[in-house]
Amino acid sequence: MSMIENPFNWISSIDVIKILFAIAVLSAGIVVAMFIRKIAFKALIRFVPRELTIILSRTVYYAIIIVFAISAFSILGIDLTGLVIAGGIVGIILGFALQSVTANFISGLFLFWERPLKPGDFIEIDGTLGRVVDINIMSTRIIGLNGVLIRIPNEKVFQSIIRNYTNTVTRTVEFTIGIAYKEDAEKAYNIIKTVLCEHPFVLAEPEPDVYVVELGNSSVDIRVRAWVPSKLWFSVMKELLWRIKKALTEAGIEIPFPQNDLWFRNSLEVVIKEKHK
Amino acid sequence: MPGYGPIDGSVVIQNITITVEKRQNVTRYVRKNEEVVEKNIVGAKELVLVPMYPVFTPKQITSYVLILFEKPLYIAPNEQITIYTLMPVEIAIYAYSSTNNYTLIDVFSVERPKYTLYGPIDHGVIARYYRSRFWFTEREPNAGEALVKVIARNRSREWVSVNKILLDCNPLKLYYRKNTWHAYTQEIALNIVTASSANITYNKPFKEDVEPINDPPGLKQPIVYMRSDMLWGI
Repeated sequence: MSMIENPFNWISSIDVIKILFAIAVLSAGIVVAMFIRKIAFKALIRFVPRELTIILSRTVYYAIIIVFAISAFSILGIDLTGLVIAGGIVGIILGFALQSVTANFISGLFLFWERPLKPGDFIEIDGTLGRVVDINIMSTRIIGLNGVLIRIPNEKVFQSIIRNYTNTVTRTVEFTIGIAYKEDAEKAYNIIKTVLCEHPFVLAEPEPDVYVVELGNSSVDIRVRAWVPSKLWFSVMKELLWRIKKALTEAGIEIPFPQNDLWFRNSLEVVIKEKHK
Repeated sequence: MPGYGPIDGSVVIQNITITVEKRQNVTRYVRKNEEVVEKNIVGAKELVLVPMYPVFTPKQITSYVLILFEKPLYIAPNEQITIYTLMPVEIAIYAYSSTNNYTLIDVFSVERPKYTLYGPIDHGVIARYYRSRFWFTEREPNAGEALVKVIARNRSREWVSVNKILLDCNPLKLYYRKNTWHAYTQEIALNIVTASSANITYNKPFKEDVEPINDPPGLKQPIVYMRSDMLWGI
């Protein structure tokens, strides 16, 4: 009623000093938040990847501003208890609803921290082979061997066994070659050794290893184990197999296919029937 | 006289033949050995043959060269010795324009290249591998080799045996004498810190009247220190 009588009456109830004080608190909060964000960034960047540092320092910045904003509202006499309780309830509901999102987010933070892989690495996650193109806070994207882009949620990446094939400088090329029992195994051994020595990217150290791994059913199995630069693993493996096969064939050494020799307890009597009498 | 420098006509290096023919503004470059490489270059003032860091063939994957001595060198504590050894060099062809801009046309190796690992498999480095002797007096290198002067100082308190030296092509520099196959590095100081570690500093050239090679674009990183380390054995 009084408002109708004098529409500007409410102005007299405003405490200008409180408002100014609240504004001052909020302004101070913004300045403090900016200052702490810078300090947090400089402190974290030494230990944490850049992307994660940006996220963490921004989180600190907004958290400080929220605290100061609540204080400013309290100065003005606005009670935010209800809002905080409501916010808490909403938070719990969202927590349940966004469980997988949160799990991916947290896993992403740990992946940034631990760094088991980085863009450009050739990896295997849960049987999926490919090259990492991007790791963001929710998912990791790799390009598979067939050129298809695969998105893997960070939670799955974090929980899986990751094989990173490019994280070490070298890795081994290993394969078995079977030669026929009638062939000279030492000659085959020397041929294989020569091929390995002549290949520039079969490393001189650690030395390649060639040995008989098994006297198989159809062949003498020779195991070849050579260290090569990880970056060139696939191309060296292809070349080695091809060169060894070619060298053995040129030397007349037979690489047999599985075969069985049948021995009869008694001598066989072969009866040949004449078809056309 | 055959050797490093501008190519005029044809050059033979062991079993490799290089032929350069110029017709008007087009230069035809042909290299023949097991394979034939042919390139046509427009606007080249001259093609120059120079020694090159031995990390390009068959594919560049490293900047390190490991020279393994055939026999070890034993050095007493606080002693120093100057030795000469050889490292491999590849041979490069640069094309120069009339404004002296240059580009790398071809690189090949006179010897069959071989690589090795220096250090552990997770933290080590891949390096071009070369076995060489060392001498206490200077000698002239052949095509495909560069003479390396090494001043080895044992700064540790124990006897050490030196079996290898790891050179980094980033601070390394190559020099050559025109119209010969003689190539050289700078003077290299091998400062032995412990029985299994050393640091290497790259000093000034030790030969006079030699030409430095121009570094190929993109090979070297900006150099902060003219030194490298051997942390996994000497």
